[in-house]
Amino acid sequence: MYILGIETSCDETSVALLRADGEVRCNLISSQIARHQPFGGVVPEIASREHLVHLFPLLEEALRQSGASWNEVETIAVTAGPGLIGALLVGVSAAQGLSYALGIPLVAVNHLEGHLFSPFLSASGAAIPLPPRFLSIVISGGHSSIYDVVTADGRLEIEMLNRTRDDAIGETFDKVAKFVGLPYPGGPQVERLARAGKADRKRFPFPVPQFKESSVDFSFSGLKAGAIRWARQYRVGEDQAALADFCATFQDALFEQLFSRLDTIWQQIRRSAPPRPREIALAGGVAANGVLRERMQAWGRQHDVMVRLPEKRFCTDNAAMIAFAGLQRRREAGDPRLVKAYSRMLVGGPRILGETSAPLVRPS
Amino acid sequence: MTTTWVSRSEEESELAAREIARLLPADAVVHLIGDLGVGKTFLARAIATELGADERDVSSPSFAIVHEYPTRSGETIFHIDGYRLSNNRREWLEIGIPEILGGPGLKLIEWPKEEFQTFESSHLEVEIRLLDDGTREIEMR
Repeated sequence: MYILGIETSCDETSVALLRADGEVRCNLISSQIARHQPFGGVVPEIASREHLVHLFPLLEEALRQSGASWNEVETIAVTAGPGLIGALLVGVSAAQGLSYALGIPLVAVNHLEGHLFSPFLSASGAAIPLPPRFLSIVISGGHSSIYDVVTADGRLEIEMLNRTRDDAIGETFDKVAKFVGLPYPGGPQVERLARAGKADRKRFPFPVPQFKESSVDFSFSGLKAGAIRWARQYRVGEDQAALADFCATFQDALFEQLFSRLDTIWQQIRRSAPPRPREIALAGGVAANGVLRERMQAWGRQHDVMVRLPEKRFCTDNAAMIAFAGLQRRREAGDPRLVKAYSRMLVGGPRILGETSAPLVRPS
Repeated sequence: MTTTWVSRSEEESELAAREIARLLPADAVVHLIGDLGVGKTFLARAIATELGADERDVSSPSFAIVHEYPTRSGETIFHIDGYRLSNNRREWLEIGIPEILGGPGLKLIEWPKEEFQTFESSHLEVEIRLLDDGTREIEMR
């Protein structure tokens, strides 16, 4: 028996079939990045239309590749938010129709919960069992947060420990990359150039922001503004060597803030009530960054913590992680008519919290 | 009518934003204008917070295009970002931009499209300029 995952919150249309033990039988992604490149970013209108074109052929293909039939699908998990409302509605409406027609329950999944469990998916075979408590760092183009996840005694409690006050870390990568003339998506481009360069904080000083009330929130807009200022002053776009050093320094500063906040949070969490977290997970599109993966592993060795890194194919948006999060929340699966799409949706608790429905789905 | 503030620090920008917030008429549409990294989201947060939104709710809407912030008085502040939008009207319709711009609540828009004006009855502009000496000029018109 299978759980079917459907993801259409942003660039990618994705469909996956997982077994009840979390084994990924099939994870298909129809990427729209090539279509978006000319615009230097995701273009929602194209995203919605493309989801509609790709979704049903992907579903058929997923069943074919898994050698499965519809009556072996037991539950459907769909991304309900957060994301672009028009794009989300394509996946949610399709999932509702399928759930209703097949007479199987539907579970609404928060896209960010998909990411935060994704490092526990295996390359092959059953998923890695979730530890009683772990920290999960979710960093992508739209989100930057560290979560405290407790699964002990059958619970599923997720607390958001921080968030970004302005730009997400992936957004900062993309915007600065675009400013210095690099193509979309900017993260891999900056990483590639950074490997050829040398971090030079004397030439490009990027301070880690400090808040008055010693908050552990992220803030990347100051770094973005500083990067743009240095890029303009040194005309780094015109000189490959200077651009490489600039990228190395900029990337280093982004990660320094990440680890600075993680250090503080780790100090606090160690003093909290048991169980003590012994694992830390890194997820989201920025988790594909090789330099960050190396630094994360080093951090884990230093703090005697098991580091869980997602397979690169599970870093970017994908339906396998949605189906996997659906498995964690399968007790909430039910009537498809109760599922809605939400452009903003906060993570946490047994129910969907802090939801704000977008204009298109506001009840009339 | 044009009003200009000169800011040498985040604190001074915040004071300017508070004054701007108090000058805004009900249901205003505000275009926030300025280069990348000049402080548009910062200003939007200070304005929204002054009008009763939770400061921690406010972040860059570049990814989601539209953020909604409930205020303590039960109104909604819309924070819109056209950074990633194309010039295709069908896309704006799909996101619900015309309904938001014509509806109740304060609308704070970063990277507004020129044609957004066709959905608004009127709008105010707040432009931020970063000068060479690091000070910012904030102009409301």
